[in-house]
Amino acid sequence: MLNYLIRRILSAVVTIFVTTIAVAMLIHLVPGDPVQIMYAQSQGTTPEHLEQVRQSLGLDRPLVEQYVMYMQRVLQGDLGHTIRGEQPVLDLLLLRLPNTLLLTGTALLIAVSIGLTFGFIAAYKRGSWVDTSLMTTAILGVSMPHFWLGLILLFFFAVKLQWLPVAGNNLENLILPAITLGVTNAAIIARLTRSSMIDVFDQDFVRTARAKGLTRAAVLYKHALRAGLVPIVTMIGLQFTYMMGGAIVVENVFGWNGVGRMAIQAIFQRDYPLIQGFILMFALVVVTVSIILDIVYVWLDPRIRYD
Amino acid sequence: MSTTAAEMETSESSQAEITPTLRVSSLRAEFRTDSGTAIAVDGMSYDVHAGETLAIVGESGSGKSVTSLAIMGLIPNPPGRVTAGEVWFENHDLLKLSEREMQKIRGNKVSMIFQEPMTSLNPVLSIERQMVEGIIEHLDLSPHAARQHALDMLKRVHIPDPESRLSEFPHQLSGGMLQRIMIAMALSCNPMVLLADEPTTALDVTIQAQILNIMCDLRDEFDTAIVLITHDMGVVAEMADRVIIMYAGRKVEEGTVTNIFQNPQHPYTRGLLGALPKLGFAGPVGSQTLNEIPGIVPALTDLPAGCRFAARCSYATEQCVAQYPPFEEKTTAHWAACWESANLPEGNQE
Repeated sequence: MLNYLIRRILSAVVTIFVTTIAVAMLIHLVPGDPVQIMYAQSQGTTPEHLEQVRQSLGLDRPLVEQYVMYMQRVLQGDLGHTIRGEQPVLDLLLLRLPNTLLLTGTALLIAVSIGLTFGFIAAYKRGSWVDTSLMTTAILGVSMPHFWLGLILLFFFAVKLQWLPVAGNNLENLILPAITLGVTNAAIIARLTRSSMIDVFDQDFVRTARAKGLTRAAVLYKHALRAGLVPIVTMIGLQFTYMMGGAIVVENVFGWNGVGRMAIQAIFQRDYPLIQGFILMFALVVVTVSIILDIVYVWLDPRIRYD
Repeated sequence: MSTTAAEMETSESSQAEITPTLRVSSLRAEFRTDSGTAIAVDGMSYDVHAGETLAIVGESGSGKSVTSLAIMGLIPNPPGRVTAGEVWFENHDLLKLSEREMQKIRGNKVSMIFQEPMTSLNPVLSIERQMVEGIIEHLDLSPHAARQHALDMLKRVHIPDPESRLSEFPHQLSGGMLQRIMIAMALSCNPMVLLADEPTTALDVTIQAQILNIMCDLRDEFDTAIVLITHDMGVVAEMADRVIIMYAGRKVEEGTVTNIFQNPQHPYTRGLLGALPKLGFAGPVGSQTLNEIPGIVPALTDLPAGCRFAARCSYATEQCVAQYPPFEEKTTAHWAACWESANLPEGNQE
C-alpha cells in the first residue's frame, strides 16, 4: 500500500509537470499581447516604453527560457507576480481558493445528497412511475448547461421573486450558484447510483441478509448501499473535479469571488503568471482528489489491494 | 393469545400423530414472465418433523428452491408471488404474517442456506460483522457476547483458527470454508427448521462430505428439522430420512429413503436413479454409460393438462396424456402420482 502510494505520488508529480509545460505552450498560442492590453487605454505610451516593460517581465526571451525561469521559481515556492498590478500570484490564489472550495463543496453536498437519494429510490422502485419520473428529471438535469440554469435561477429567485440577492459574497449569495453547480451533477450521480444499486439488489448476499431476518433498513443501507458504493464514490470524485471546472462558469454568472472568476479575468488580460498559477493549482487539486479516492477504495472494498 | 377455529383444528388434528415442525400445504407460486405466467410451484405440500431430514429432489426449474423461498417470504416480488397455500409453523401461517413479524422468524427459528457460498456473503463486510448482526438482532446479546457466540459457532463447524477468520473478508476464504460459515450463521440462533438449498452443489466432493457431516451432527445435537434441497441422489442416500421427488412444480413421489431407492413408483424417479453412476461396476473404465431421461421439462408457462412427465415417459398411455394422475398411497407410507405405477417392470430404474 505504502509502495503504491509513493508510486502514485511520483506519477502525480509527472502529471503536474507535463501540465505546466502544456499550459506554458498553449497560453502563448493565444493571440494578444499582455503588455499591449495593459496599456491600451493609457495615453502617451511609446513603443519603446512597451518594449521596456516586456523586457522587465522577461517576455522578450525565447519560450523555453521563459519556462525554465518560471519553473525555477515555482520549485522555490514562488509563482511569480501578476503582470497587471504586480501582486504575488500565490497570495491571490490562496485568498480566493477558499471561496471556490466553499462553492464546490456545497454544490457537491447538494449533488451527493440529491443524487444518492433519487438514485437509490429509483432503483428500489425500479420499473414503477416513481422510477420513470425520477430518471426523466435526471435526464433534464444532465442536459441543462450551467450558465443557462444559473441565469434561469437568477431570473426567478433574484429578479422576479427577489428572495435572494443577484450577486455578492455572503452566505446567502452562495445558495443559487451552489444549486446551479450541484443540480446538474446530482442528475449524473442519480443515474449511476440507480444502475449500481439495481445491480446490487439482485445479488445473492442481499437475499442472505434478508434471510438472516435483518430489518429492511439494515438490508438496504448496511448491506446493499455499502456494497454498491465503489462505483458511486468514483463518480463523485470525478464530479468534484468537473465541478471545479464548472465553478469557473458559475462564479462568473453569479459574480462569486473565487479563483474561477479571477482566472477568466486573467485570461482576458493575458496575465500569464496568474493563468499558469491557476492551472497549476487546479492540477494539484485534481491529482490530490484522485489519490484520496484510491485510499478510500481500499477502505470501501477490502478486495481492492495495491500490492 | 387468541386462536382461530381453523388453527385449533389444524393443531388438534396433527396433535393426533406428532405435530410437524413445519407444514406446507397446497402451496402455489407464480412468476410473471414475458411469455406468460409461469407456475413454478403448483400445490406443494409436505410436513417435516424435529430431528428429521426431508430431501426434496428435482431438476432445475422443478420448483424446489421456490418452495423454500416462499416459506421464508423471500420470493422476489415482482415478478414472483405466492398465490395459494399455507405454511404452518408454531401455529401461525407464515404466509399471513407481516414483513416485520417474518423478520423475527427468518434467520432465527427458520433459517436458510444457499447454493453459492462465494456470492452469498457480502464481499465488503467482515465475517464477524455478518455473523454478529443476526445474533444481535435475534438473541439480544451485547456485541461482546455476540462475538463470543459467533466464535463458538465457528468452532462447531470445525473452522480452524476461528478468531482470525472473524476479521477476514469472504474473498480471503475458500468455498468450503464459506459454506461452513453460512451454516454456522444459519444455526447461530438455534433454528427449529433449516432450509438447505443445494448446500454442497458448488463445492468439490471431499468438501461435500464434510459439510453434510457437519449438518447431520448439528441436526442431531439441536433436533433441527432439515429440508434438504438437492438434485444429487447420492446426497439423498447419505442424509435423508424421507424424500420428495418434484417435477415441473408438482410432487410426483414421496416416501422413505428405502422405499424410494428400492421400489420407486414413478418413472421419473426411476430415471433419476438410472442416471446415477454405480460403484463397484467391474467393467473397463469408460465402458459404463449412464442412462439419461430423454426430452426436456415442459415450459412452466404452458403446462399440459395430463401428466407433466408423459412426453418423456416410455410407459405413457392415452390416459396419462389426458388426465393428471392423483397423488395416492401406492404402498405403506409411499405416495406417487402415476397412472401406470402398477405396470412398471421389476427393479428400481429404467
